[in-house]
Parts: sequence; C-alpha cells; structure tokens
Amino acid sequence: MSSMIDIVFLLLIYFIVTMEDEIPEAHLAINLPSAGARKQEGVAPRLLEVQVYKNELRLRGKVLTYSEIDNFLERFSHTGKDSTVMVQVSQRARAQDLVTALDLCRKHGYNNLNVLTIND
Amino acid sequence: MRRRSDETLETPVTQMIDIVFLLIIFFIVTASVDGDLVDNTISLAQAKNAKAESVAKKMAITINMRMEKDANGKLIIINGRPKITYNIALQPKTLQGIRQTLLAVKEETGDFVPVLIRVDRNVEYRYIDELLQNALAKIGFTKVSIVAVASD
Repeated sequence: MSSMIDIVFLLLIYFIVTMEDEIPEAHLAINLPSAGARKQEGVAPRLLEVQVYKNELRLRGKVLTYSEIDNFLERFSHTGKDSTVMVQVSQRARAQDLVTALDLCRKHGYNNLNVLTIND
Repeated sequence: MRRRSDETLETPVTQMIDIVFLLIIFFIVTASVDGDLVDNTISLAQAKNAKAESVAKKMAITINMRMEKDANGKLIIINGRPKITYNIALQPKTLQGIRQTLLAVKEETGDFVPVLIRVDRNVEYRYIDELLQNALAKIGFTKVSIVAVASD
C-alpha cells in the first residue's frame, strides 16, 4: 500500500510540475493573392475594402475609429455575409494591427478575407 | 499443507499497480512531446472577439516567426532591420528552408495542408509579407491562418 501511495504522489508531483496555463489560440484564416489564379465566372463578388495602417484602420480610404468600423461592418453584414473583404495592409503596420482588422471582420461573419499589401 | 496452498494463490496487487502506474507515466511522458514543440516565447497578437480553436490542427504546419532580442531585452537590429528568425517545430529555418519544407509537403500531400503562422505581435507587416509571398504564395499555399490569442 505504501509503495502505491508513493507512486500516486509521484504522479501528482509530475502533473503539478508539467502543468502549464495553455494560451487559447485563435486561427484567423486569410487568402493570399496567387499569380496563377483564374477569374471566377458568374456573379461578381461584393467587395469591401479595409485598409490597415500602423495603429490605424481605414474603410474605403477613410480613417475611422475601431468602433465606427465595428458599427459599419455590423450594418453591412445584414446585407449579406458572402462579401469578399479586401484587407489591404501597409508595410509598416504591425501584426497586431492586421489581427485587429481580421478579428473585426470575423466577428461579423466575414470569412472570405483576402490580404493584399500596400506598397508605401 | 492448506496454508501453503493459500499463500501461492495470492495475487501481488501492489507490484502490479506499481507497474501499471509506471506504464501510465511512460505514456504521459511520450505523449506530451508534441506539445513541447510549440514556441511559447512568441508574444502573439490579441484577438478580442475570436474564439479559441477547440480542436488542434494535427496536420497543420506551424511556422513560428519572432524578432530576436539581446540579453537586455532590446531588439537586435542588423543593417537597419530587426533580426527575424523562423522555426518549424523549434527547428530553425531560413525563408529558403521553409520553402523547401513546404515544397516537400506539397509533393507528398498537396497544398491543402493548413499553414499556421505564429508571429510576434510587433513584427511589421513587410516582414510577414516576405514570408507570405516568397515562401508560401509562390509555391501555391494561398490559404494560411494567422494565430492570435483568443478572447477566452
């Protein structure tokens, strides 16, 4: 009995030592432009353009706050979530800026997110 | 005579449990090797609304990308640009190395294998773009996912 308890304690110690707070990770899917992509025939996709700069988001070229873009995407989503969002990212934008924009789009159900680079 | 036969019938339960626990420890230790290959030194960007992925993508290729810092925590700058390193399952890679790895995967299974990019939140997009264009899009991997810290 005592040896069993020894091993149970060893197991307990093992779990305590190896236990780590796992960070919950989200995967934000994006589409990259490809050179050989063929044009899709049929109904033209509805486009929404979001520009991402360092600490700044723009919608169709107009600088807006986070909540303004949030509201716009919310309203726009009622007209259909099949729209393609063109996320144009400045070279100087940070990964956090891009994730903020992608996260906002995903929040309102836009899953077709095409990422392009702004050469600035 | 009877006592002797009773003694031989006893099952050595304690020893058996000892071995069972040892087996359990063995399996736990070997099973957790995969989890140890995640680069936890990267400070990922925060996604306020996104939900955590409930099922880990086992087949996915995870490319880790981070900016190197010196002993004082300052960014290492070489020729005006931060020193950026890449690794796949903690194996250091160059852009060329990542491309070769992905080409090998493409030949073996196709370009539908999900690619996850774990990037430091402060990396400028121009460096992410180098990776996306030169190592991924050019060889046909056009669907990738950026990994962020989920809200829950």
